[in-house]
Amino acid sequence: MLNFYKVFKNNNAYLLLLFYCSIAGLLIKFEQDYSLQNLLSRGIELRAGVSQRLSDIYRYLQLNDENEKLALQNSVLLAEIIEQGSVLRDSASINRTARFIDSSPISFIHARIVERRFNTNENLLIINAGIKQGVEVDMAVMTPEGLVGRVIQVSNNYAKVMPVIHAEFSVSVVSDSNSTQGILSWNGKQEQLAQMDYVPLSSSIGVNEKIHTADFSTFAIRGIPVGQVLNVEPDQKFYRVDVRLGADFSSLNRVLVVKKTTDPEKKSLMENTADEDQIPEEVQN
Amino acid sequence: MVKNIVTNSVLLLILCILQQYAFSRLVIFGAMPDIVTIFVAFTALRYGQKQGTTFGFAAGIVTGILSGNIGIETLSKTIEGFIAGYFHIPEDSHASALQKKQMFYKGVFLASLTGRILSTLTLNVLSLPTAWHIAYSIGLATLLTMILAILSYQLFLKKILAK
Repeated sequence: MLNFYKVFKNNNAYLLLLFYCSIAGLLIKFEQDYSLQNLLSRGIELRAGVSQRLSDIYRYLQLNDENEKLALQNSVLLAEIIEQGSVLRDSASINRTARFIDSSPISFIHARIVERRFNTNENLLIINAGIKQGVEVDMAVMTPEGLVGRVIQVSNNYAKVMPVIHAEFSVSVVSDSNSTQGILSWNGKQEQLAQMDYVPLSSSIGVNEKIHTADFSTFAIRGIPVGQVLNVEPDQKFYRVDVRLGADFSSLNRVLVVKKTTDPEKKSLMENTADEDQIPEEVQN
Repeated sequence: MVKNIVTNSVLLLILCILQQYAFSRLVIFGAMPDIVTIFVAFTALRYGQKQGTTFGFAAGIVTGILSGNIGIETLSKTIEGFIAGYFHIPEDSHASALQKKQMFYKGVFLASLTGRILSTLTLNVLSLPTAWHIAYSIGLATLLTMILAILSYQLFLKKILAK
């Protein structure tokens, strides 16, 4: 014991470093462990809580601008209502729309973004809706303009969202007019541009086509708008398709969490199939 | 001694919160200055390597809980404290003000550089090409931290280190 004490006293700075690094190593190893996740979600709760207070103060100071923006939005919505009315009167459009109406109703949870990080260390959003409001992991997050991301962690009152503009994000998408399918991901270059991969050269996808989420996504319901095709270039086996994202990440404020997730049975089956066939993970999304 | 530990712990907590809510918003091309690294390096310089390492560890735990990357944050901040400890200026040191300043800047620079390298090796959430990732995450972040270190030194730390 005395010898141990002497060794410790002589090399204590190195031993201390070793001790702390071992703890850090264990924390890295068990970061996905339930109790550590619980602690981290409390951290998120705390961080988001403070952020919310700060943003409340900021919002209070910005109320005038907000009102002006809302008035502008109202006028845009009114214009859209008039436009939609004329579309609905068109019987062909009614038939086309009817194909997309699901048998079960979709409901949304309204949430506000209380924390937003876009830097080299972190790339995430925190919204002020969590377990208590009915948010679950793997729910899709969107704005009326387009898909925003996917819930990856929830605490009681907050949820962490992996945005579309994240290196690890991918989602199955389909084009509006000719149902060309592909996988949407982001290459990290421009905030407004994502890429649609695995689009075969035989498809007839064109510029300005609207892109929606496909039916076989593991988290998003079908039909969520994603963006619009900006550029199509043939590559070796597939087209290289640039998609302008509908959601504007630079001015995100309020979002909708889609309460309906994909059927767990379908998700489990798709994941099992992917494991067996060793399909790349991104293709499952 | 106990008073120092309590004061520094409270200060560390305040700085961790400031880092999360204020300095993290000063993002330039994806990189941001790190006030916690400066404080950890300062603690190591003033009180020694062991204290620096311990403060680094504590800072890593707090920033890790707040940011969600507890393991990496703890590891990098602990090593930052340890590295800065090599530039320890004892209280009875006869070093001139210029030498103390140089030691402080060297300590912060090496601590920041090491910390950023560790974080960069593990995280590339923006999927930047490697060269850009290194330039932003290591080069620019260290530069921003150094600018903040110079400001902190000139405004507050100079007087403390001169004592």
